[in-house]
Amino acid sequence: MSSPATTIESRVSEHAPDAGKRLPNSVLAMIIFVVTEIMFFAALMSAHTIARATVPGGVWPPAGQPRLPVERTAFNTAMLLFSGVLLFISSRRARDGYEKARAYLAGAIATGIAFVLLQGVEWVALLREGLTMQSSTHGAFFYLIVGAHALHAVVAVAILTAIYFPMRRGTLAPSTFAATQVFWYFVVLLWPVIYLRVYL
Amino acid sequence: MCRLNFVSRFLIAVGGTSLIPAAAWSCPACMVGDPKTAATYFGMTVVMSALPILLVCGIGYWLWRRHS
Repeated sequence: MSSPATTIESRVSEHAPDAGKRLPNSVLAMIIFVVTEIMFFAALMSAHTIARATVPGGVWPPAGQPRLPVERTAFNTAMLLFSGVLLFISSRRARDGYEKARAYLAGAIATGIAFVLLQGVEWVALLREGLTMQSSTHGAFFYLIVGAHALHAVVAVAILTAIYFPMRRGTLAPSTFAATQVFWYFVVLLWPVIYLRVYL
Repeated sequence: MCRLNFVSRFLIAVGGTSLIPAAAWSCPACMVGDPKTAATYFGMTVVMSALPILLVCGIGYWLWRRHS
C-alpha cells in the first residue's frame, strides 16, 4: 500500500520508466466517452436551436411562459467555473503530494454540490411559476437539456467525492484522478454553452 | 410480358426520380417558409456534420503530437 506522501510521478514510475508520457487507458476511455456526450448534448442543442428559430412570431420564451432566472444562474455559472479552477489547482498541487491537493479537491466538491443545489432551488421556483415539461416546447427543452446536465453534474460530484477518500489515504491512482478531471472539466465547460443558448 | 432485371429497374427508378421538379428534392420542413428557419437548419446541419469529424481529428492529432 502506498504511503500518503506518494506523488503522482513516483506512483507512475513504479510501473514503467516512460509511463508518465503515456496516456492511461482510463483517461483515453473517458475522453472517448466525453466525445459521445458532446454529440449527445450537441443533438439536444441543435433541436433546441431549430425549435427556437421556428417558434411562431419569433418570440422566445413563448407568451405566457416564465422568464428564466438569468442573473441567478450567472452566479451559479461562475460558481461551477470556480469549481473547475479549484480542481485544476488540485491537479497541479497533486504533483507535490496529495496532501496539498486535498483541500482544493474538497473545495471543488463543495462548489459542485452548491451548483446542483442552487439548480434544484431554481427548478422548484420555475415549477411553481408554471414551467413544466408539458407547459410548452420551452419548458420541455429547458428541463431536458438542463436536466441532462444536472444528471451529469450529480454523477461527477459523486465520483469526485468517491476519489476524495483514496486521495486522503494516499492510495488514489493518478490515472483515476486524471480521468475524473476530464469528466468534471466536461461538465464545467459544457454549462456556459448551455447557459448562453438556453438562458439568453 | 417483358421482365426487367434489377439493374434496369434501378436505372428507371433513378431516371424517373430525376425528372421530378426541383421543389420535391428539398425537405418540406427546412426549405419551405421562413429563410431564417432554412438558415438555422443549414447551420445546424453543418454543426452536426462537422462536430464529430473535428472531435475525432482533434483527438487523433493530440495523441499524435503527444506520442511523436
